[in-house]
Amino acid sequence: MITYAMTAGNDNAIIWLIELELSSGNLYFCSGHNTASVSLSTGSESRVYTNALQKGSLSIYDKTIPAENAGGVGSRGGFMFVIAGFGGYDQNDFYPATGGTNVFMQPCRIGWIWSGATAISEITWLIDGEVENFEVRPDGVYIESVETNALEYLALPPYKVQKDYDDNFTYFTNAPDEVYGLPIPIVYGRFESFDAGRGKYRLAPAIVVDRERLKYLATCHKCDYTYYDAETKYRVFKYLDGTESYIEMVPTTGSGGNSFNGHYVNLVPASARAGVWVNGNVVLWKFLSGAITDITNVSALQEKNYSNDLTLGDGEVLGLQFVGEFDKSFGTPNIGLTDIELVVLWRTTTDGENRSLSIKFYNYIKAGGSGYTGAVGSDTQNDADSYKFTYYQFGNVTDGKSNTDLPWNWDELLGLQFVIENNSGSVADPGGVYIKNIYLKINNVVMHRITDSVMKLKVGYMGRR
Amino acid sequence: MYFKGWLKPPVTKQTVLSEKYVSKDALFLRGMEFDRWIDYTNGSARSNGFSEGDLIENPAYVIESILRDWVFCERNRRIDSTSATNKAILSGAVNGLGLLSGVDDYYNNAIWYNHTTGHKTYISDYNGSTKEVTLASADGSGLMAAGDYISVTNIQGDNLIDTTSFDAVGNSTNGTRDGYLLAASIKDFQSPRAIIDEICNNFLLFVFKSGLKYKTATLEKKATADGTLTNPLKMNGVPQIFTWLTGLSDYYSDFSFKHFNEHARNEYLHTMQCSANGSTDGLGTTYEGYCKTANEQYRQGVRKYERDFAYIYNGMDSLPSTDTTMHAVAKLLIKFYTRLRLMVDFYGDFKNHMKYEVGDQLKINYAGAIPTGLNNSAFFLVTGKTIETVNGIPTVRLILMETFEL
Repeated sequence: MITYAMTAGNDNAIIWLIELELSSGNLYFCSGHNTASVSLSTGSESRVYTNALQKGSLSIYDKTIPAENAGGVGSRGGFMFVIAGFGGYDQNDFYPATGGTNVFMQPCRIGWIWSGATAISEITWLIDGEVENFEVRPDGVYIESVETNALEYLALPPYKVQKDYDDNFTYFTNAPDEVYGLPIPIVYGRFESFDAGRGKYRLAPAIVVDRERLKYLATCHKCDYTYYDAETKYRVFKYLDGTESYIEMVPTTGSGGNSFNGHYVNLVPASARAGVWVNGNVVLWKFLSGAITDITNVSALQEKNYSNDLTLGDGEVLGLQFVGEFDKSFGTPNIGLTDIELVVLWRTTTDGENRSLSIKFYNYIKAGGSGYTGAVGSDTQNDADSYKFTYYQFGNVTDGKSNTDLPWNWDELLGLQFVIENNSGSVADPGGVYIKNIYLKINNVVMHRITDSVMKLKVGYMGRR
Repeated sequence: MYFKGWLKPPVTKQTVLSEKYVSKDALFLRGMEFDRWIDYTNGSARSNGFSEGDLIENPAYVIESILRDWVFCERNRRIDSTSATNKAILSGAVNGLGLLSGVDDYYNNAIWYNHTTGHKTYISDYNGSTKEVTLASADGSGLMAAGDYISVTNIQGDNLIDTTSFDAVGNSTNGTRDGYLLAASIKDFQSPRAIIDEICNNFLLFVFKSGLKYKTATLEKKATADGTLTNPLKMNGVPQIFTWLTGLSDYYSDFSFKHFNEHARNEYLHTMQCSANGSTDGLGTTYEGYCKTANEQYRQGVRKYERDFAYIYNGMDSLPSTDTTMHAVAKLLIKFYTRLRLMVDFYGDFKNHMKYEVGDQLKINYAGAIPTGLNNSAFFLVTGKTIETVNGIPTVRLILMETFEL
């Protein structure tokens, strides 16, 4: 609601007031039948509004909101009027020959008073506009004033990556060519969650602005919270096409910053040197049921929308094989025991009853196949109220590998059939288990390729049409 | 009255050829935080449950932040000289990039960022004739100097924002969008209008200019009406109040709401569904019933409605929780779009009706035109306002739409 600056009496007439700012000074106009002028006190002086409006020339735009869309920005307010016979001024007042500001885009506002008003504090302002159009005709000056167009003529984000002038902020001399000119994002809200076991990531996009330091910039402003605030670990995530998963890139010597100049992470120091590089952690979670299985429907563990568990009954076997069509040239798996692990998140179906899982794999890629690995993992638990992570680690296992002298390669890992057996009946309390997540985690991947080109999509012209 | 070369509606438009980009890289963070304006309006305390330094994720305050932090701004300004650690002149005389306004106190309470020294504070005083700012806290780095790059934000923000309306929507106690979560990386060039329009569209809000200030309002019924219309003007003895129903093209009965945009894949990961035949967890028979009723009542068959929610992530990803932002917005939208709504065209005198504006919600007590079930009880949202002259007398014409509550 609009609060009137002045309370009307019973017989008050409305008088429109217009203020137009020009470089030569402010012009004041009023409307009103048989009203030659209105004088209002500013407190220190008397301000005179002259009735120079052409009769019937004042019109005010409709105001609307897009209710049919259930939300949106309302229309811009505006008004038009004619100053009859230049209102005692000269057209040069509106368009000085040189130097002075012409009337275009000058502030021009409209309000009203009730007759009898004596002070400018009694004006109820309706529209604060800028002159967007004006035209001089023999009968006067036609003027249109509209609420500021800043919402349309600005472009956000306001900053882009550049190397033309050093503002200590957006100036980067060693960015990839395709990055110059890209906007530096404005970020609102939380980008701080990921459930790698279901491929659910909520991360903020970043761009490489320094190839030497592997500097990733995510915002053009200070962030409320950054990852290393909590864990003092610098890291960058890279999407791995074909896996619905990100590589978590962890530097041996990283650094970062978070100020009103932006939030960034450097993966390497100014000069990369021996022993200073970047490792990657990869989670593969897309899989199919394997050939050796009692459970053929594994969709409960592949569905992002739901948190339903997969039930594995006593004595049942779940076989699965990971899938992924991705470019494997980004890095090589490492050779430590914990560098490759199958992770199972599970719980017992009955609180207090012990359940047991055993985990192993079968490799049918190897010529002649050696069958099941001798490395069998097992774990037990009896808590029905919380899930337990079981890690089946085999980074240094060579059973079933084609070449036992080299680290695991991606095709070997994708060729493995993992077999998870609920063996509770034979080693613990017989009964089922609930499995929430299963994924293959490859840690400390030696990264060969870290930066990729950004993909650009032409989207045409921006702004209101 | 139209001018030569007139554009109607008048438009100044961006004609910058733009690109979207898809980055495969990402960081783990929380975004923008509140600046001083959340605690103060023109130097006086402001109370809404949030403080400077808190994360901005409520949609009403994201809109306010876009206006104050990114629109009411002057950027890439440069200091021409300094006379103290808390005083700087930005006239443009030396470096050519001075402050734009020559009005005394124009920049008071605006936020000051020195990108060169890393100092942030607010401007406590401004001399328009010399263009000298006085900083509320001195630049302790001692390095503030001519040539430094400066940004000034929230310029005149306290005079341009109706904080009461924004706090009514966003406050953390009983705001109408309290608890609604927004998350987005604005990474491609867009106009502020396009950004705010989409946020409003996602969270069922309206933003408009009221007098000199930006104001916000919600789609659904408020707790209290802003007033009651009772006395339409008459022309030749005929009361100027007319009603009709929205058209058949304005209802829907099969809904899909895409949300949780994954930037690296450039697609939405989740979709919330509701139709007469079934719905996503958390909507259920009540909302399926609205769809069923719409199908049966209007007899146009199933009408499908799809909407992308670029600013909402909190939804299907959080199941089994159904107390999510997407659920709340979906319920409002389904309720809104499964019924045709009564529209009202009302003419009132200037004196008593000029105070109403778009976004207000009014009751109408006029049994001659309003059905008994709605008369003096239903709330109507003002969607349009026109100031007309009838027989030489200024008249206010309001277009209103029947609103609803969950």
